[in-house]
Amino acid sequence: MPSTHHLVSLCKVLVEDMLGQVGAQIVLTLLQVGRLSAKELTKATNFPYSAVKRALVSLVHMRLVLYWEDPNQWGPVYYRADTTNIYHLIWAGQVSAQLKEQTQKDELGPVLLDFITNGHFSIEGYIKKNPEAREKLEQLLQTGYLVPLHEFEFWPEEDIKQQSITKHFREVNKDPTTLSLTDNAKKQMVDAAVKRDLDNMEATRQAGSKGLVTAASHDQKLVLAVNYERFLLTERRKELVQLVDDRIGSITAQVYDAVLECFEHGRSLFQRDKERVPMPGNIVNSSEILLKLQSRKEPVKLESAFIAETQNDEVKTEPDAAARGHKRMKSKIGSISVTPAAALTPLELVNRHLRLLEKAGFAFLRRVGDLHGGEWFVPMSDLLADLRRHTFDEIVSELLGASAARILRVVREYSKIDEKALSQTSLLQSNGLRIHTNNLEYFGFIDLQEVPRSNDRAPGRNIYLWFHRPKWAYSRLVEQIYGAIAKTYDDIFALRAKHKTLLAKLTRVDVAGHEDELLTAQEKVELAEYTSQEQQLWVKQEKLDRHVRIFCYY
Amino acid sequence: MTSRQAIELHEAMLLQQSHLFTQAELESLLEEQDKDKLIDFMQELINNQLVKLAQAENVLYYQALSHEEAVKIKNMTPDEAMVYSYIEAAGREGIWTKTIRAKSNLHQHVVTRCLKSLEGQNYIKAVKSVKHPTRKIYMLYALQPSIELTGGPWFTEGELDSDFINTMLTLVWSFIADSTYPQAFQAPFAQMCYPPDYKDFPILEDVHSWIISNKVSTVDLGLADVRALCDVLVYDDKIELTPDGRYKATWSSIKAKHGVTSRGLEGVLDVPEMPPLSDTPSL
Repeated sequence: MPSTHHLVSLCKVLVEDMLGQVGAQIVLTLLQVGRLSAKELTKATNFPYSAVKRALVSLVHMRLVLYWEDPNQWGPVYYRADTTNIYHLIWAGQVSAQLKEQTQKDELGPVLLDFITNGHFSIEGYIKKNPEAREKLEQLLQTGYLVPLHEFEFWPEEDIKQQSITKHFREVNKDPTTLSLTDNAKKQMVDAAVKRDLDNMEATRQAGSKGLVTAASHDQKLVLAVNYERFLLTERRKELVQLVDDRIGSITAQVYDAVLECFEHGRSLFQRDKERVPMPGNIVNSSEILLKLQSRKEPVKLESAFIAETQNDEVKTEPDAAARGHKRMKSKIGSISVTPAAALTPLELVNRHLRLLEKAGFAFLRRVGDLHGGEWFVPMSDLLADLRRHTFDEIVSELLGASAARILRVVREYSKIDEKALSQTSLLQSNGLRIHTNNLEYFGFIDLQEVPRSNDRAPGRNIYLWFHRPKWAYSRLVEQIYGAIAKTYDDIFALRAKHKTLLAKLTRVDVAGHEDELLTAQEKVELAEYTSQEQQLWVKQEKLDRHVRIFCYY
Repeated sequence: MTSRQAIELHEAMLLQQSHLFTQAELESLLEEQDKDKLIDFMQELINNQLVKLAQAENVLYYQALSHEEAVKIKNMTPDEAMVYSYIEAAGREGIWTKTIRAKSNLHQHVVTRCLKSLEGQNYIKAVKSVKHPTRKIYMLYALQPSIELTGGPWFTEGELDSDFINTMLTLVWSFIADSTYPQAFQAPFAQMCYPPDYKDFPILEDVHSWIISNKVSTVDLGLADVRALCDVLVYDDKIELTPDGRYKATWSSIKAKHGVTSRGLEGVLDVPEMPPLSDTPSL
């Protein structure tokens, strides 16, 4: 994730909330300067060397800072802040809530929270601390919320890659069979070898997170950490189901939920390469989906989603026994003759919903075969692009108005369009249109290109064309959201500072659990006010974070 | 005074309304072999403003004018007649005052005086151009300005009629929504859609004929105008165009109508104060 101004501020705030000011200052320095050794950090931050080392231990333990020491030559250990891992801190509460929702067990939450706040533990170490936690660890491993942590996950990916490149170049140059090869051919060989190394590393990571092994069968020295991808997978599914609910309806959304559950079966990590093309393992069939729907606690009324007959009473039911081999009725809806939903088999009903999804304007589903009632594939990368586009349009509509969203869609469709054509197509007056294009440009959602008509490049004779670059626009939006999240945290800190006396009293051992008796009436009012305000801020932060996940993490 | 034969020739020409006659056609019309006489008659009619000349591709054409038109032009000063002729030639497109000045070589004051006089007598009228709102454009009083000039049905007095457009958008959306989800506006609000094979969603012509048959618009709307409306609804994500050219309302637009809002960033992201418009390049 590239570090931007607001992201850096947010990372500082998050680390400050978790580890205090020294840790926050170190992270800020690393994000601003790049990689530094402990000595260089001491110089840059003016903190004592011992304080820096102490803070680095915690930061590395939580993988908020990654380290690199060249194994082939003596030299200092370099540290680099990892914005992705720092951003994960935001999800602490949500991961626990999701775990409770998924497992319906309260007792797993505190164990997971221990791992979130401490970064990682070995199985042995954690069980020594909490002897009764063995079973809980097993459950967390099985559900995929905890995964084995490997040493390379403490190292920056760029350094691992660079090391691999150096190693393979050395090998290629030493190899007498490659003497006749051109530099370009050697580079291709090295690139292939590096890709193999990185793929092996990813395979190692994936192998340890199948959720099928138990803690008992593991090496007791195995180190475990929280698997945020498990959280993201579930949240992505919820987001996509919500999208179907918005675009098609709630019943089809439940069918799609079952589709995605089958599609992601047994996974606790993203497998983006496998989500690109249909292949065995990522194709689901209608029978599987039906079984998944039938296993739900609350039955889904699939037939109730469809209009049974036309409004003009042209409907005539007729027996279709010959075609089906049993008594079957047909209705006429418009110009087509269809079997009423009530007369369809559950598998046919599921297929009807799946075809609705296939025909929707979004890449929800693609039919790839006919076995077991129909084989389906979720073109995830296309679908996520659709989700991002839709979410972006929604945000523009809410921030800048429906007319701005209309303009954005016109600009997107035409690729490049001048103001007059834009006004004609969007049926908006030039004056009003200019306000919206100005706002859109201010946020970086659209841009203006000047095309000179003559060599003198006179501004008056130039043609001005509006255009939209999705990636750039999304990055600008995410940057604004990072800023807004950082501001929300500042507001929370300010709120805590305002009520610090009350909060200090609440944390006292003698008061905790006896608030009703030991708080005065005024303090109770203040507490209610504080709780309400803080809750509002957390809701705001969660809304903002949802959009970051859509644009950066799914 | 006009000779009897010239009057007969004029009447014969008037029978073929607005027709442009070549000399050969006139000869056959007059049944007079003597070409000199024909020229004399035509000169008489031209002098009395009963015929006007036109030229195209080096061919001279004659057009008969009605007596009322002739009287009208006769009563004009030569400058006014010249200005009037340019305005008349411009037809429904109208003519810019600057163009009249350039073509007639008259002084600005003279042109202004002529225009004022002609406008006062209701011979001409000033019209607003959508393309060039600052230009003063004139055309004959009896003519209707062209679509290029008025901007089409979406413009009223040169301004985009937003209220009319929004009303039309709402009505068209309601028609398409009703055709896509006929039970969406009945309680309880729940998914109730046509099967995926349903093919009778409205096409553009259906929307157009619905507008005409229900007299939804007081302004005549063509297919292209209705397409423009539907396109805007597509851009608003209220309807979608299927690959077979049919329009379907989006379920999210139905939900929005029922007050079910999406989970966006409303009130969460602050909209900073925008810079003044003068800071942006003038287009």
